[in-house]
Amino acid sequence: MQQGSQHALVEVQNLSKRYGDSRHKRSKDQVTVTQALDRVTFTIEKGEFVGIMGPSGSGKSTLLNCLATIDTPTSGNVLVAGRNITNLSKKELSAFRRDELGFIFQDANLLDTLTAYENIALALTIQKVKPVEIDARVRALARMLGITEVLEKRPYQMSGGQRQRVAAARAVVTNPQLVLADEPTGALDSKAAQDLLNSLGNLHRMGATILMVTHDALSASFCSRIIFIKDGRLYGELRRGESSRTTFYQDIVAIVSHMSDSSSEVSYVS
Amino acid sequence: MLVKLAFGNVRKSLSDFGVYFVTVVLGVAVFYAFNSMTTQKGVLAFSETQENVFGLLGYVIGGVSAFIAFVLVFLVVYANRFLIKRRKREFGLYLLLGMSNARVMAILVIETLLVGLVSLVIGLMLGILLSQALLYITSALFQVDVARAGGLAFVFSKDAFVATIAVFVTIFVIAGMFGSLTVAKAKLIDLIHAQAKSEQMHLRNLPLSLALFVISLVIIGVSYQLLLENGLMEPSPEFAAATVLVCIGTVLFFYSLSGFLLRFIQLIRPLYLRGLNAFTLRQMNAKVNTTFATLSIVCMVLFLALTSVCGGLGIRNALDASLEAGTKYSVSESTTYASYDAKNGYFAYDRGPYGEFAKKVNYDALKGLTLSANTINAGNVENLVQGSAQIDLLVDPENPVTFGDLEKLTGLSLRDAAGASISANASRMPLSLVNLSDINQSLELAGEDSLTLEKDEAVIFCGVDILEGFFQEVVNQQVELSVGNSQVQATAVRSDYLMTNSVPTTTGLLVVNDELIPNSAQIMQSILNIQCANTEDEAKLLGIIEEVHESTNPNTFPVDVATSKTLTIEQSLGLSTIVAYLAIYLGFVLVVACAAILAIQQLSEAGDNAFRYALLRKIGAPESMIQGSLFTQIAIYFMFPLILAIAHSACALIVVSDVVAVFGALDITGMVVGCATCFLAVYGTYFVLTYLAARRMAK
Repeated sequence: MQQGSQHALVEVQNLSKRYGDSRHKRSKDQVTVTQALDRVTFTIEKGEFVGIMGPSGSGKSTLLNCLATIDTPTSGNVLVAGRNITNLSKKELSAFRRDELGFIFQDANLLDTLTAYENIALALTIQKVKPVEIDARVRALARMLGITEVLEKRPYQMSGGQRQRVAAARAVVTNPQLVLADEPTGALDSKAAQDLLNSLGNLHRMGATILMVTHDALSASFCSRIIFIKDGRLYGELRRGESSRTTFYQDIVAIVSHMSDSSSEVSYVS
Repeated sequence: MLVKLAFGNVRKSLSDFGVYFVTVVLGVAVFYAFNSMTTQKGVLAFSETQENVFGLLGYVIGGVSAFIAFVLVFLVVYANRFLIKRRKREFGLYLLLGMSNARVMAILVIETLLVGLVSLVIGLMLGILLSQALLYITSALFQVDVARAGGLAFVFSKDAFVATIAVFVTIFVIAGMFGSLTVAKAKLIDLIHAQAKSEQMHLRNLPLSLALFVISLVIIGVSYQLLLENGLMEPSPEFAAATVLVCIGTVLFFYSLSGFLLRFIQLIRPLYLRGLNAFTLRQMNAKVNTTFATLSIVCMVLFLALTSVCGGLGIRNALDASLEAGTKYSVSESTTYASYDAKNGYFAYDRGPYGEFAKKVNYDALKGLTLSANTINAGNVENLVQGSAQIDLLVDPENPVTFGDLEKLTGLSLRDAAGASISANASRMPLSLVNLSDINQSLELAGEDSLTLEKDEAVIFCGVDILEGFFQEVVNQQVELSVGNSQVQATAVRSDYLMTNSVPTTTGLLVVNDELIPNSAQIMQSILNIQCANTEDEAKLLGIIEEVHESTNPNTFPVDVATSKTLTIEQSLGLSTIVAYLAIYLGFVLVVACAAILAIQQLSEAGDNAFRYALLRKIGAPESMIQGSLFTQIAIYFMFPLILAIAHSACALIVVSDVVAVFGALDITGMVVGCATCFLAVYGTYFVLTYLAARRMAK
């Protein structure tokens, strides 16, 4: 654990989230509190490609939502570049999302009325970037992600993989501090998933910090580090280090199967 | 239980109900206020004529109200359908939970009636206030005091009250039934997945939109030109073509508008790539298939409303303006002895024994009337007359001065000079000849300066505005006209009314010195003007003349038209007020209908698009930017139909004013400005309501 590191990009400190707090007084006696996150603490360094894994209901989506400022934690802090984002005003939140975060969703979530080019450019026009600069940045990124030929197409004219890469382009075109990806390969066939993960790998090598939630071990094997979550608690983490992707993949599969087999809590630290 | 559920539902989606509520309230208020107008008779000190005219108004408003009830049924059903569409999932959930179809339908009907009841009560209260305001407007328009109640009065019409409630309860029941039917017919699966269905995307060719937009403007331009050149007096192929073209042009305009805006702004790269502009434009373009029909219809209905209001009020103003000039004499009587037609030229009417009688008194109307009144014991005419003057309109059948002659002499075309509303036969009609002394007697009787003419001079009298320019040219060119054996030149054109009348009737008189009138001249018409000492004498005299008119005794004078100053004022004001009221009533309801349709369409779109706005928010678009995009979209949808409708109306009114100019100058000011402000306020209110509700929905 690298808790308290001065240079960490993201610091998650004792993050807890409870659902079903007795807000409705009438039904007080019937409230069942669900602990979605229980004192989760970890850090992400700048330039890391971190995967978050865990079975359904483990709290990984809640964690992502808290990081994305879509949900607010019950207690604990999330610091991004030293700034606590759990108590920002509404206006600060939208500015934070606009300037510091990039999102990739499971189902691309592109605006179906806009072309690929416009979808990517939208992230920049919202930031009021100069039009000349917009064009250059969109086209450069499109070349890198291999989507130049679909730039003038609408989402429904593209394949699922192309849509996801356009979404990835939209997420990183603003050079955000942190890219959040929520099961980005979930709706893709294996070839398209491979292409997308290679693209994310490229973005990672160019310096982007990516946090990807997945339950697919193959997707996870593209990351540089995996954080495992179970029942709202940190289960352990795994670093790829110098090992090959195949080895890393097998390590991940081992932990995942162990995680679903036993109820015991064993921490794996590489 | 059901009532409680229904009540809760209404409270929850109060913002959705907002537009519906306002529409029904306005509908109820206007419906009641105008239908209650006949009760004003009870408190306003009307004369008998005014009461009659007002009875007619009540009758006509009743008829128009039937039409308006239809419009309101359509509106309420439409608004209700939108509310149901918004809540299909909710109804699906009820069914899924095992609630019976009948109960869900019952909830719907209760909801409709609940909202209906509240809006009906508020609408009626507003309507009663409005009818109070109308009372004072009527008293001002009719120049009548609210006298019977000592200046202050409260009008309440039980009939209108009951009728309004009956009509609106029927409307609500129909709307509730339609709504229930939608739910009853729908499959559960559709209800539950209602939200997930989004509109089919169509790929549209943008350069084509650009071309279509230009074509639509050209078509509209051509139709304007056709209309302006040909007028609308007679149903001509050009008029039909203009109507068809303006409809096609309007539809095409709205079909291509969003594509054009998109393409156009895309060319201005810095503008296109700023904020959410690209999103806004794409959004509108994506919806064009569902919106262009609505926008076209709204535009045309707005056009109808604007034209009817401006035209109606304009006619009223024109009539008012001519009222003073047309009521210089207490009583005027006119008798026509001969006419002129294009085929046979001059021909005398056969007036039987009355004609013989007129000849016997040498066509002296006053003498004829006095003798006739004595004969039938109608009363003493001479005692009532303070002064009188007769004008004889003559024509020389051997050598008439016709409009065609004037056209030849001046090289002008009557149609070009006076507009398309002139009949094609006008060229063959003659100008009447009048003795200078006749005219001077009538002028002096009205207290005006008399005329003096040199031997070879003439003055043209013409009361019709559209012909004035033509005659002015006759004067300017100093053309020589032959009257009998002499040549005369017209030196001036005058537009005086030669008798008391609500509209000017003189289309062209040539006034010359008495001695120039040839012996062969025949009498066409006589006009008798009389001044009385007071309005009582005036009424008595008119009564006597009417008795003579109705008498079957062969020894009486033939009377064609007889009118008095008071009667003319009352009739003219009454008629023009009917026109004005009807125009406002219809126009107001149509504007409300248009605004409500636009509002509902925009709101249902905002509801359908909520997920897109959520997405924008996720990628960090600030709230102000999203609201800006919504505002732009709604503003464009509200503005463009209005702008195009105003353009259409302006063009139509130019033509209408040509037609109305027959009655006097069309004056589009004052009241029109007031009405337009009121209409725009309603339209604007809907716009603001729509924007606020859409903003809530997009959240």
